[in-house]
Amino acid sequence: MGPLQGGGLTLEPHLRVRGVRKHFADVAALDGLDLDVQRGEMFVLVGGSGSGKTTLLRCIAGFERPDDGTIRLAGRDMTALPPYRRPVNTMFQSYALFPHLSVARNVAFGLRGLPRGEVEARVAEMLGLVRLEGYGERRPDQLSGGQQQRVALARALARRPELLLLDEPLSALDRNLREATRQELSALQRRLGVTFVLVTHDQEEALTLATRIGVMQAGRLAQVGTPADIYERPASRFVAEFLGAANILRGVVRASDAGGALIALSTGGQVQSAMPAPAAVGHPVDVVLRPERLTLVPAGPAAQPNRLDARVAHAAYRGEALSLTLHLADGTALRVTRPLGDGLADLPAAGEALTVAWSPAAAVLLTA
Amino acid sequence: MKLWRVPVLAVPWCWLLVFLVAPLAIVVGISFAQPADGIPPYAPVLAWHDGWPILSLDPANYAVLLQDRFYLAALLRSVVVAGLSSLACLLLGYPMALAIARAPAAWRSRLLLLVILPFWTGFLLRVTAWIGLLRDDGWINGALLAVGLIHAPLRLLYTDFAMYVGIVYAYLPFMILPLYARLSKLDPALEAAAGDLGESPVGVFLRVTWPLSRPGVLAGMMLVFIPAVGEYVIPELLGGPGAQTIGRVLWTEFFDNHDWPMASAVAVALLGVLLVPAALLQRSGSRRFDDRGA
Repeated sequence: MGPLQGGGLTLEPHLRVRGVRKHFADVAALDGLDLDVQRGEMFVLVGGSGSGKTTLLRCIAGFERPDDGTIRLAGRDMTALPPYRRPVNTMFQSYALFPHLSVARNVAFGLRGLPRGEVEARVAEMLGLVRLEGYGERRPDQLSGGQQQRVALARALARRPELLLLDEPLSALDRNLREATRQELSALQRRLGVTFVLVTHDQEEALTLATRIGVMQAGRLAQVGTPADIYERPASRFVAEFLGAANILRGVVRASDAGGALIALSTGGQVQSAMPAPAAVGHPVDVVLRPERLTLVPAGPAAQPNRLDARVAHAAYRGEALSLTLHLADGTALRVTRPLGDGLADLPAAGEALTVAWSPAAAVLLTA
Repeated sequence: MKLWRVPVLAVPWCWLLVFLVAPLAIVVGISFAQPADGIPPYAPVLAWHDGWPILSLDPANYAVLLQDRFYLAALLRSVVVAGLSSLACLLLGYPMALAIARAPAAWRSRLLLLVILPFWTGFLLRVTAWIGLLRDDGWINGALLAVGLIHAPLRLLYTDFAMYVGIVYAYLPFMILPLYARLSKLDPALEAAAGDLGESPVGVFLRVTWPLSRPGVLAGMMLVFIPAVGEYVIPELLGGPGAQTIGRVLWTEFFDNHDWPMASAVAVALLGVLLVPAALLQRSGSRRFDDRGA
């Protein structure tokens, strides 16, 4: 069962959230949120702190009761069920391993009621899944952070939940371990086919893990789509700035049809975009240009579209790339990321005049 | 560098020597003496003969202690009273400590203040106040008579009931405080995780909250049990004449019978009995430490 990324489904999605509202003392943490997650998906919720992503997770887990709206899983209404009656398990940010129980008994915690032999087999299977065979008798505080993280995952998966919720599962790990663990988590999820809903504030984590991403803003989903969708075609300025770096320039539509649009920038210069303008001719739009989509070319005729003359304000060597901050003629800052070629680590000097260019496909248009 | 540690450590050691070891040695010494008329009312344990110290230890008091059922019964009664009182304190104190630990942060310090507020008044005064509440024409009987629940005053004062009420009342804070300290440090995510893994609230309590609060339970039980075993004032003021606890026996031997050696022997026996739970507490404390350190 592969992850479904498109629409056009007639069956009810695995997880269906409709109109969920949750207020905490006058503050709307969730403001009429709708969300569909298909079976087997790795759905990643991103958003700033206070955007409601953790509240949504807690509502799905049952720790919070929505003020309004419904949450259905596998065709069943779960809105009113307490956490212990839901076929949902959570992997907590702090892992929340029981310090008084061994690793094996932590994993077996949710298996009460199963025959003894089956519990032992399941615990062994889960510990194998997270490569912790032989650690069953240890106490959680005798494990490293990465091992604790895997115990938490094994414990949450042991009950074979319909849905696994992961609250910042990798945030407590150091950087190197995080990358390796991310790949393991992704491989495990695909192998088991369990639906994952994961919350993170790490955009790289979101882009690399997700089958689909939901960007949250003020208690609602600002945009839902595949990582490429969200990154390449952000639906709003907020999404564009939240995932990845973005240069956003204001302009006015000069011409637009199905094949593209021509925009006159307020800083001077023109943008030719491969996408039709989201506004009528004469109306303002925002042009989103990703720093890594901008190239530096020798100064040429300035009147061409998709070219801007600029001066280097600041240049930083980042190892795998150069980060440049350029100033346009009117002082507008433009960030450019340039990959390093062979031995081309020489930094452009501040004040150096350059021309920035991009392709029509790189210019994303948003309603201003 | 290390020289300054000597005077610093000397202070507590001197304190322990002067106010704990020396008095204890004196009490143990007196417990082996023979009663005598005079001041002090016992024959010296240590005598000098031709420049040699002669130690004359008489174990008669301990023999009496073991043979006379009166003393053993008093000791047993005290242990039972203290045990039941600490259980009652646990049953009352646990929900209170849990409620305080779960209260909104702004409320917690206020609620804790209420728990320790009684300490601002003298202990004797507070126990005496219970006489006014419990006696036949006291507040409780008065209230029950007034609402018509009873037609004749209940016999409350000078009963075991009154004694238990007094002990539980007096020692409840010593149960609540260590329990609160433990419960407030409990990570709420652990209880959430247990619920998430399919445990009902009762199951969450039995499998997570209770086992993780056990060190607090043990500390609270000991803090109530140990002083309650030797308690004299409460059984004397509120208990009936039958409530012959070891504290009252000790008092009688010392002040009424002027039998200092017997009183000392009772005190030493009491200390011996109390060493058992203290050692248990010590052991469980060090075991917890080992678990963490290993």
